[in-house]
Amino acid sequence: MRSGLTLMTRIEVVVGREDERLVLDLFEHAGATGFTSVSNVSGAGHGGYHEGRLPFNDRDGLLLMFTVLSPDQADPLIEALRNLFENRPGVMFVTDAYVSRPAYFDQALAP
Amino acid sequence: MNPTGTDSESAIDLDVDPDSRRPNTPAGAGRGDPSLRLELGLALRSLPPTWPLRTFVAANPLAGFEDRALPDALAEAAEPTGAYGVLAEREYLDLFAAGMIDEDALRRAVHAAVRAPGVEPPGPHDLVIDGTHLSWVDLIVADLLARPPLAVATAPRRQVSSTERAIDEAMSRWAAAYLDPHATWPMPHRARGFWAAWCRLVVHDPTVRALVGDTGLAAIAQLPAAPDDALHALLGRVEGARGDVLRGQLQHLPGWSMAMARGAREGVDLGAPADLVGFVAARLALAVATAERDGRAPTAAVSPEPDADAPQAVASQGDRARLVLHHVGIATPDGATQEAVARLLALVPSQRRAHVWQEALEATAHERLLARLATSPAPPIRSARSDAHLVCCIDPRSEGLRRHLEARGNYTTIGFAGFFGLPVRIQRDGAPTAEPSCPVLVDPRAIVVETDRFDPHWSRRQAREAVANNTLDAVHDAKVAPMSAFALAEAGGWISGVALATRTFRPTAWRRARRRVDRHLAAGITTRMDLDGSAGLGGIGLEDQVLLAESILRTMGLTEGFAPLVVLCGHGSHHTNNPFRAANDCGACGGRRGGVNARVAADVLNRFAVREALSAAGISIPADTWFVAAEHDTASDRVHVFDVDRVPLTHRAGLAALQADLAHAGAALAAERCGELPGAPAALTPVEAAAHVRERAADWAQVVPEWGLMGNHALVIAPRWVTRPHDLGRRVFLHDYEAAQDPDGRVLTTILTGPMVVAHWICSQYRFSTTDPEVFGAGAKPLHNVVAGLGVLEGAGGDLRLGLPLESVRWQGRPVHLPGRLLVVIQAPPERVDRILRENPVLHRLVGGGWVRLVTRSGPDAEWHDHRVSTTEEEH
Repeated sequence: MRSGLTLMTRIEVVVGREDERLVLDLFEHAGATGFTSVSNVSGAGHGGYHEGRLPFNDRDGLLLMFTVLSPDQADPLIEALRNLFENRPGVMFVTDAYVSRPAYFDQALAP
Repeated sequence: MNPTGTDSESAIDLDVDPDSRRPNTPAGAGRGDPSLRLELGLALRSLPPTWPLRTFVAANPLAGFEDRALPDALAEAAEPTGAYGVLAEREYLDLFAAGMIDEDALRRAVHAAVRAPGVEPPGPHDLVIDGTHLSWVDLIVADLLARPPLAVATAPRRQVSSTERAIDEAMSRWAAAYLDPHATWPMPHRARGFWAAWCRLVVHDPTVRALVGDTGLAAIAQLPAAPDDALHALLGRVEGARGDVLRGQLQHLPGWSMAMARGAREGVDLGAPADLVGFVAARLALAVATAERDGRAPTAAVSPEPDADAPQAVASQGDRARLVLHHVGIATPDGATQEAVARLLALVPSQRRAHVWQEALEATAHERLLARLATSPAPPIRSARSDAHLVCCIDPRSEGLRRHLEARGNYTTIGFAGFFGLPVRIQRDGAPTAEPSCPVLVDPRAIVVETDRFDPHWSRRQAREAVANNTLDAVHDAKVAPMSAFALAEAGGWISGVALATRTFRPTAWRRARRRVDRHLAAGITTRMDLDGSAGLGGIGLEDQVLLAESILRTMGLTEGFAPLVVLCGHGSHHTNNPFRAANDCGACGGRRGGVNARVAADVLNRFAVREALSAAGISIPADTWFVAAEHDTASDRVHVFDVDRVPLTHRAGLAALQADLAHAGAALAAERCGELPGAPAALTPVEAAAHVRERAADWAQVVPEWGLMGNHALVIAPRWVTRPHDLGRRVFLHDYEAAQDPDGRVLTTILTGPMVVAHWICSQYRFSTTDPEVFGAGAKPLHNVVAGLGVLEGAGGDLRLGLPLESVRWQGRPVHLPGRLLVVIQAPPERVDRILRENPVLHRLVGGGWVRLVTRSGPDAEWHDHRVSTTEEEH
């Protein structure tokens, strides 16, 4: 079923809301054509439990953000995100993703 | 793709500002370097957060260092910023003499400084000299109190060479030209971004040509066209870690750097895209060019001019020891004694002395407040229904109004976030944009239009306004156009002269005349908050109205015992000629006035459908309760009530009585405030004081129309009976909280993660604007030049000034605001507080890192005690 699909790289991060602008900047300048973001996620991790939605504070919540881009575009982004997480809290997951319309994710492949 | 929030408890649709997530890169800039962007983004964190002047929001200037403990943050921030977070020692001595610092607090601070964790034993010992026992603490305190103060080596101030200053002046002019959204002659090419525009135009700048020469300009012309590539190339020519170089460049012009990172995206004008990379590249290009012109390495230190204020001779340890011994009655000490004392005094190094004083100053204020709160009598058993509830913002100024109103009758007051829990943007009908009216911590989720279309006289008002606006536009255009300005002065100069004289010498009369004109334009017009989106824009659905209403009432703790009148009282400051007016407005409303939020909340809570749904949720609002919106003008202490025409006839008498009491309370508050306002006459009656503060607010030459949040130092989260017996001097944030009504801790979580964070920002802003006005303050108001709503310059050039103006925190060279950390006082079960701190990293960071001091008690029979948490290295 993977025939006809193009291999891309999906990069998923969970970051503090105050780093959202910085991460979007990195996505954009790595050449990503889009992203998805889910606000006010809660969960538990290395640093303990994190509450989800705070009624009077959107700045200190957590975001789940991901983007899909070609593997060669992904490498600089991965490197930058690794450096980010040496300075800021957050996690990153890098996985392969197959897409049916590669031009949507890599402008170089646009007809 | 738009982000979607998912939360099983909230069905509020997100209508977040798409601009906040839309890329704002210059057209044609191309892809950048993610790693370079990351380093620049992280370097930007070391700068104080800033907002445009018209929505001034107080923020902690050291917010970028909050992941460290406060002492470490102060130490780390000192070198790049030149700020130390403490006053000059002589200022502490003056405060001690004035009784603002207790000697006991000073002794405790000395003890803590010397016996700090990690200090190797055996520690200091007392001395016995000539049979006299001398405590080591006494000796060090005597040293600190020595008068006249001996010259001590102070921490070196950050010095800037004349070359760097010249570069900064040039960059300041270019940034102002680029970012000005109202320029009569807009900067060419600016839509392509700063770097592209600057590269094309800098060759025509004679100041830059004089700075770097033709060779330097030629080198700049050879740099890559893309700003990322240009910055990359320049960083390759400079020694030092990239992050350090970038931070160093940003710290030269932190105000302009923050403005450049935002770009001119407010409103509909996107004519100046954010281009921080281009701005840093331009400054670094000039730095490199001047270094090469001088034949030095670009990052080699340029010897700054000597610090003229540094003490020329610093007292030796021996001098200090002799003075201290003389102070304790030993006039001729032997050498061994002198040496022993000198060793003791060295336990508090010169550069720690001011920090010891600062801890003592802060501890004095905190302990005095806690001692008073400990004496509050047990709450009375209330049987009679209040005549009215007054719900005010947590702002310290509200404490004064609440206290004076409570003294006048059967009133109950409540402290609550001034935006009344409404994450909204407000748009005046006909205005081009909707403005957020909630804390900057909160994403606006809905738009509410303030419309006058319901009024039958709407079309007449539109016509009058159109005439007035067209006239004003024509006058403005004539003023700024080169030739017509002279003609206008000839034709209409005498009118302006009369207006000028009236405004200067009869400010109250001028203001009355202006109001008459405004009323004529809007005669008989009333506005409504369009909750349902009837104007074709915005609105809040019924389900969301119910959710908001329930959240508002539960968070403010008003779920039963409703008075016939519940007044939701926002606040704002109505005065004139102050670029920093927004700093005196409501911080909870994003630097705007809170009356509109009060109107929206009152409308929601008066709706029958909403009350029906609330009743099903367990909150029954009596049929005879009416919510009214009002706004407290903190400059004149008048309270304006909105929408009086919609108040039921049955409540008009009660409202009239309340308004009369509010007027008296306001006048009494004005008299209280006049005792502290500079230049106010002494011993004014309330009537005289009310007239004085009105005149002050109308006086365009008045640099202190009110003191704003001067003196703020604590937030009390407790029932009103804990604070009601005490005059807190309008210096304490008050948020009502009843632990028994909040079994799962959700309300306390909301208060701590929202209002407490805002209060901490305000307290920090006031602190650092007081202790380090040159770095984190905005300078003196008479010298301000306003730059297109972005900020102010002090004088003709330089950086956009950050923080509060001098006149908000100092007067005649002395600190009026007493700097310190926010004291947070909570009456709640300690295990509940523990859990909330554990589950919310922002609180763990602020409390664990010592940015705020947290004190709790479980109930009226318990004692207040410091609530500590363990610090952690990482949050994930």
